[in-house]
Amino acid sequence: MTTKVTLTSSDNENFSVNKEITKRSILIKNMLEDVGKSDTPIPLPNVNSKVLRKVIEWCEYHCMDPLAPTNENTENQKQNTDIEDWDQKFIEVDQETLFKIILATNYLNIKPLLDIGCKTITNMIKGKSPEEIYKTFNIVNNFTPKEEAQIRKENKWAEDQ
Amino acid sequence: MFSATPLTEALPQGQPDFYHSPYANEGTLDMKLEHTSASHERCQGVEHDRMQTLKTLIKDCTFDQRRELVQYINRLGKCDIVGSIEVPLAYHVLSYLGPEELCKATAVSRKWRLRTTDNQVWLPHFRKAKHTLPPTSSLAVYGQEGPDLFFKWYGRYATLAANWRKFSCENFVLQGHTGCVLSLVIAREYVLSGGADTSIRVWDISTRTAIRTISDHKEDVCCLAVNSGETFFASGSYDKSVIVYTVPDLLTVRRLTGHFSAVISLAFCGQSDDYRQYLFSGSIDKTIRLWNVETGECLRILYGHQDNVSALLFVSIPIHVPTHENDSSNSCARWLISGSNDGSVIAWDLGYFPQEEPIIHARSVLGLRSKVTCLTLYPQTFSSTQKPAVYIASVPMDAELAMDGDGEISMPIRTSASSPQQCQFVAPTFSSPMTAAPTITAVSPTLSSATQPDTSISLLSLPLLEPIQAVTPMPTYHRGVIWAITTVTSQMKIITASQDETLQVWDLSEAGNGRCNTVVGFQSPVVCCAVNTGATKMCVGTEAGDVVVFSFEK
Repeated sequence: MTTKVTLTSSDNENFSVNKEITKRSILIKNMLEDVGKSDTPIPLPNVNSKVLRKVIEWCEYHCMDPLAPTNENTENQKQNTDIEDWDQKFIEVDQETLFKIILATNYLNIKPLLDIGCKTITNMIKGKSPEEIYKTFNIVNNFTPKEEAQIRKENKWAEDQ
Repeated sequence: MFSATPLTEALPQGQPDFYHSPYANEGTLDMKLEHTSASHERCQGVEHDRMQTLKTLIKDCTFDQRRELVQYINRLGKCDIVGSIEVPLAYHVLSYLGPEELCKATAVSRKWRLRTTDNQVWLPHFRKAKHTLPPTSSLAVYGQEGPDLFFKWYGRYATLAANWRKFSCENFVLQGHTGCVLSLVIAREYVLSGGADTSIRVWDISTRTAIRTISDHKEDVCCLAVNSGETFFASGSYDKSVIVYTVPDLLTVRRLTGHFSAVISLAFCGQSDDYRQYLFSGSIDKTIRLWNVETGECLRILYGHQDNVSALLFVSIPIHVPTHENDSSNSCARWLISGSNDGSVIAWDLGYFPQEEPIIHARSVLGLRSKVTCLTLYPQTFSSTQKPAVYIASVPMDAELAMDGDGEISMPIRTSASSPQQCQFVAPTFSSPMTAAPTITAVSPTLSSATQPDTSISLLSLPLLEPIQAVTPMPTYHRGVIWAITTVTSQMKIITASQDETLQVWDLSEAGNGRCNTVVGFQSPVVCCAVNTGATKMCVGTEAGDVVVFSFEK
């Protein structure tokens, strides 16, 4: 009933996880289907232990969720960047970890978590001026003053709304 | 995890400290921080001790060092996720942003600009807004126009829409006609105006100059029409003839003669390439003629009206949802709508026109009991529940109509002011001189007895010409005859031009809810009005002989 699967992170840490939980990841789900019954650990060379721990934590919390339908988001859902409370707390990490979680979930193919990660970044961009955005992400503005003036002129319509 | 908050709190705010610490040196500080952040956080005690050590260290720092430290901490753990993430993932992140947010993000950095302006990101917004690319930037030049084609066009359309909404435009006056400007069309970059001075003048919008004066007609040029590909234009005159010219070369194709009286209305068959050469003309001789402009042949004469055929409108309604943009041959119902001074409106079913022997029959006839001055079609493609509608401006039967300005127009004054439509009434405030910018003023809706609509617009559904509103005439706030009515489909506007020296711009969008704004300052009755295909330019002709061009591009 509660079969365990062992996942190995890039830094060789083993995680023993309930099989049902690992099926949240389409990658692992497909792997398990391909391999059949096997006790060999699944290596995840793209995910380090810290991020993997986070991802497993999320999967465990959401293990009762119905499996998300794989069809594309409709237009209405697209603009909605609300995140549930628990997920909101879960995703409150520094940008580097967030970045790694997004990469890991993309690799592991866990769409709901990937969406949460992407929405979080979107929420960091929303309602901010370009100046605030490059402060938020520590980006160097590499436009020449002339280019910047041109862009400002072209983008005027977005401010009038 | 290392947190920045306790450290910044530990800094005495705004108090420069000139004490120089023995350890104060950037390198060691960096090393220590890296070390602490890398170590594992398990034991609370160790954590606390380390915090204390750090605070002591910072206390010993100079002001400059502390400032540097703050910057260092602010940078710590931050990374340009959108810029460094894989491209498909970046697009996924950006897909949650609305067009305005996305546009702001284009100004962040070069890398961001590449990603935030990409066609893949903008195409959904572009489609959602139901924009289409102009024919000049078809998919053939997709690659040449760059990867930000949809972003650029989205911006252009948004600017245009905002300018229309606020009526923010620049205008200039083209002077030259020595009499009333009776008709106007915009074909490509030209404004063509036909006047009571018997001339057709061709103006170049970009240089704002007259480039040609065509004097082929012997009497007033009452009507002009341009075909859908803007390859031909035709003029109809009091001298009973129609002359067809090519665009942009302005060469005479041929003169169409046959009407027994003045030609006062024209309509080309539109939309599809196959029908461009067919032209309808309406006359004071009460008939409508169908011409093939390429052969000069008069194919049919349509009888039905009892008085001047004052307005013609070609309509093509898709029957099925077309699968391709060009697939209109079998999926369109074609109609000619004609309006007359006898108060009747006829919808002529053009069926599978044109055939060898065109079959045209009048399907629906409507008696309006008022003289029709002009017609327009509002396709209402934005709302699925509403059918296409024909807007008809008319004046009461007992009104004397004279277009060339030498006749008196007497309007019976009605005393009842019933206004079911929520409109904004704008008191005309004529500014002077004419060259001054016509202004648009929005005043709070004070609908009272001040408004006495002495002209009305009827709203009819297609193809049966049933009145859409229970109250047949929709009141307008014009105080004189409506001479012209134009639809700007892309902006969901209808524009009416009137004898009362004003233009009214009706907002038919859901947000606008039929609100009406008035453009004043013409100092002379406004007789004709035209908007170009891209809705970037509008031009207006007045009885005094001025052509006023409004440009909504910036």
